[in-house]
Amino acid sequence: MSHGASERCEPNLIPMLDLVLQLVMFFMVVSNFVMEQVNQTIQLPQAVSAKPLDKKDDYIIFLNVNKDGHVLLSGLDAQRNDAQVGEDKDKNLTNRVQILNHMKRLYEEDIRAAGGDRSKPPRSTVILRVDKATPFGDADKGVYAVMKACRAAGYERVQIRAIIHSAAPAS
Amino acid sequence: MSHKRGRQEAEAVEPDLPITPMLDMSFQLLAFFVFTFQPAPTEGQLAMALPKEEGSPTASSVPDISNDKPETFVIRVEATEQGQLGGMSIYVKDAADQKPQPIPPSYDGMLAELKKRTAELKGKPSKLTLEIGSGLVQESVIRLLDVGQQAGFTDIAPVPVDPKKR
Repeated sequence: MSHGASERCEPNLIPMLDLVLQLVMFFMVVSNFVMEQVNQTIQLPQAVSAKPLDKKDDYIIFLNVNKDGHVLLSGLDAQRNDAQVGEDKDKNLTNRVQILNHMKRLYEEDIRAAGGDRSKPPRSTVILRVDKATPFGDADKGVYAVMKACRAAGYERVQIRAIIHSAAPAS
Repeated sequence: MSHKRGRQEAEAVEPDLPITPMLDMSFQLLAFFVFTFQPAPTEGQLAMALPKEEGSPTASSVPDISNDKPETFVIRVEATEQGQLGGMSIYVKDAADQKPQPIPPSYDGMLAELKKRTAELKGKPSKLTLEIGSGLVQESVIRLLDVGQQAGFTDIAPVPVDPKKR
């Protein structure tokens, strides 16, 4: 009995490589998705009545506020702030005047993008991501100062972010 | 003769791309992203009414021409030194008697009081204003807003206790 020439059997690795690359792309995209908007240094409080984002709200402005009541800028906002103000290397808005100027800039951009009609409210909704340890404050500092700056700049739709919780925490 | 043998050897070569090292590196990348992946908790929003601002660009909202003027409840919340909930009292704005009445300084107490008051209104529109001590932390403010929404209020305005600091 003669033996035939030996044949090499190899599994086809190309489909496995294809799937693995798909998974890699998925995790790369998900880990970078809205990273600029979701600032992980801000610890949000919990709320039962918090509702997910409304799909009608296409234009959102996120403001991240830390424990000291400072508004944290990131990405394009930070670059724009540096260009306008020429300072603030920490990329934070530390007083109500800076916050108000920043919001007024955003308001003007909103109005320009919507065709310049000032009789209508701006198209954007402002969402405040405030650290749970930030004091409420007053018109000069704290959460209320940020709210007041948004209102003074012309934004009427302002919402506060919280982690959706199924049951209310103990009083 | 050597040219003929060389040409045959050249025709027998088959190029082969080694996939295994590429697959190995892809698994390394995948493992990195899997271990560093942190799913963020689901976040939602609480709507609130901002105080009207003199001289702000946009006009005020469309005036309510209905005869039903909403009843405005005002809850005054004091803060402890640690920024937690202190004393609480309630009164009705524009009522004959605006003396604040103390309520139990807890979220459950506030919820019960608000539900009682709205039940007495029997469908009449109502608003809620929270006068908040400046030291109260955001976590407590959110709980207050949360309780207000659970009690059925959609128009909730948080403001500082001191009118001069608004």
